[in-house]
Amino acid sequence: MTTPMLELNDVHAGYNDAIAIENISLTVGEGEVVCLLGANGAGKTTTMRAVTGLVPLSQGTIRYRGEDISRMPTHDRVTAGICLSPEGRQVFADLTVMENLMLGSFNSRARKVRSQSLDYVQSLFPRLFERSSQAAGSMSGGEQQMLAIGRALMGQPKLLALDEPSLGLAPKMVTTVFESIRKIAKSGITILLVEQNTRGALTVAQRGYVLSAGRVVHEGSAADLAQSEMVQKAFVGMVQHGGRISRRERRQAEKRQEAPRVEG
Amino acid sequence: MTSVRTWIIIAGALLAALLVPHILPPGLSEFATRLSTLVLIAVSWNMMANAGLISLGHSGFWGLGAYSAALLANAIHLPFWLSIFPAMVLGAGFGAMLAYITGRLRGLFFAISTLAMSEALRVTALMIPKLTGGAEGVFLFDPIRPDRVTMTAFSLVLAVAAIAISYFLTKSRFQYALRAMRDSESAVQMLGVNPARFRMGVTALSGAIASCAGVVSAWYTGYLDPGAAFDLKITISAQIAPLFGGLYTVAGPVIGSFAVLALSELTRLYFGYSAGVGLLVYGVVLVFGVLFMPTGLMGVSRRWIKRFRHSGKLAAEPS
Repeated sequence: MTTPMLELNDVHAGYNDAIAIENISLTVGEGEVVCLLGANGAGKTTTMRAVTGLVPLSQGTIRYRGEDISRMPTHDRVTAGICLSPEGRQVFADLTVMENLMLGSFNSRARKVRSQSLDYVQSLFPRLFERSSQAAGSMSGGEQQMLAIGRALMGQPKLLALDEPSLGLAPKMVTTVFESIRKIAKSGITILLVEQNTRGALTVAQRGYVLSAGRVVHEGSAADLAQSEMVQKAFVGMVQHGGRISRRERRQAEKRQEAPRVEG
Repeated sequence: MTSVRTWIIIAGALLAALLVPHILPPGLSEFATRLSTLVLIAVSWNMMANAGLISLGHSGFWGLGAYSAALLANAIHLPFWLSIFPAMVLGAGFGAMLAYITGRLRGLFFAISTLAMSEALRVTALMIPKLTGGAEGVFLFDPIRPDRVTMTAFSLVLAVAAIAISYFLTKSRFQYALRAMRDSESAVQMLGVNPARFRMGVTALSGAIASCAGVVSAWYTGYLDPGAAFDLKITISAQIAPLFGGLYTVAGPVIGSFAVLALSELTRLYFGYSAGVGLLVYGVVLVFGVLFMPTGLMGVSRRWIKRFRHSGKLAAEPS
């Protein structure tokens, strides 16, 4: 068997004393699109932050192309080829679209092939280039999401990490975003996708993991997951441990009462 | 990368800095020296602010520069032009150390810690009178102090160099990383930029420039005490000038320094008969300036130029 692109082994991580993810083990093969599903607070984003190095591991190891990167700082992981399009987009509002993209290829490896990356991003998101000198903050949410993905692509990723790319977007924009993820996957880039939009995510992914209360509760092919009752349950947040709803799960259920924001 | 024109402009400015002091009357020459000191510290402060690092400790750099110049002049008669080098090394070293120690502190927390550092330096200077003369202060060895014209030329050259450095920084690719750091350090890190490195680099550079301002002031006044060398007023004027002129720009701190200094001189001259009134007017103008010109003089003039061009176009094409 070939070494997988990414391998998480018994990963635990959290913030200060609060443990956010426990016992997470997953693999992403080369060229695969793998999605992490789950409700709010299930630990999807923390898993993503652990992969990109933004949150330290308290236990477990992360291997990237066979190499242990558990202690590698974030910026070195980018140079190694793990590029993130973060949750909430986080484009630099004061900088222009072009400057944002240029920042994406800041690392030495990506800088050498900057013009090729730029051509690639342009073929994917021509709309960004109509606005290249506009301040990123003045664009719509959907355009900012394209910029965030484009910026991550400028870093010449081998593994593209997409955190909630469809969050808070208008339905039409959601379709566009998933369409572009499919295109990126076709070009051979491995993708780790975190999504709340289960249906959308399962149309682009080949495999998926379902997270609930910080643990992997289910895994399978996209087709299986789409059928699975387990997914419905995890997404509604009612997977029970020991026969009763934990306080944590109740809190998550309350959180979901808040309607999602829709913009641009 | 940089065009020949830029180099010619810089060379011309340096030449002017060397020649102009010879023809300036004493009053203006003194003004030029004070202006260049303010420009040095304002440019240096703006550099850090540009990367999202709000410093309340610039008087620390200033004092370090001033003391290193004065003490070395007294101990080994180090001439003024050589004294900037140990001062810059000291300022850069202190800056890098500050960035290293404060680590991931941001915003207000960073600002407070820089304030504490400069206060610590002041108290240290007070506590070691054997070296610094303590509260009594220290006089700089007078025979090696340069004359007025040399002093002005020296300070102007330093100011021009500082402006050139800040200009080159805005033209380099580091500028984007620094500006993005102002927005979010963690987001920059996700793009493969090591924010710690940039933070240390910019603080060291800023510290080196600010300590030059201290050197100029030490040679210029010829006397130092901890209260004057680590004066909070220095830190405050280092921020008022860029705020008034235009934050995060190259020209802003320069224009702001000139405006602020000219304003303080004018109010002093017009309201000279009663000491407080001049300061009051100066303060009120500054407050309103910051309130009504959030983008500073730079922003206002840019808007005017745009409006002027626009109206010119309309006049030319009546259709």
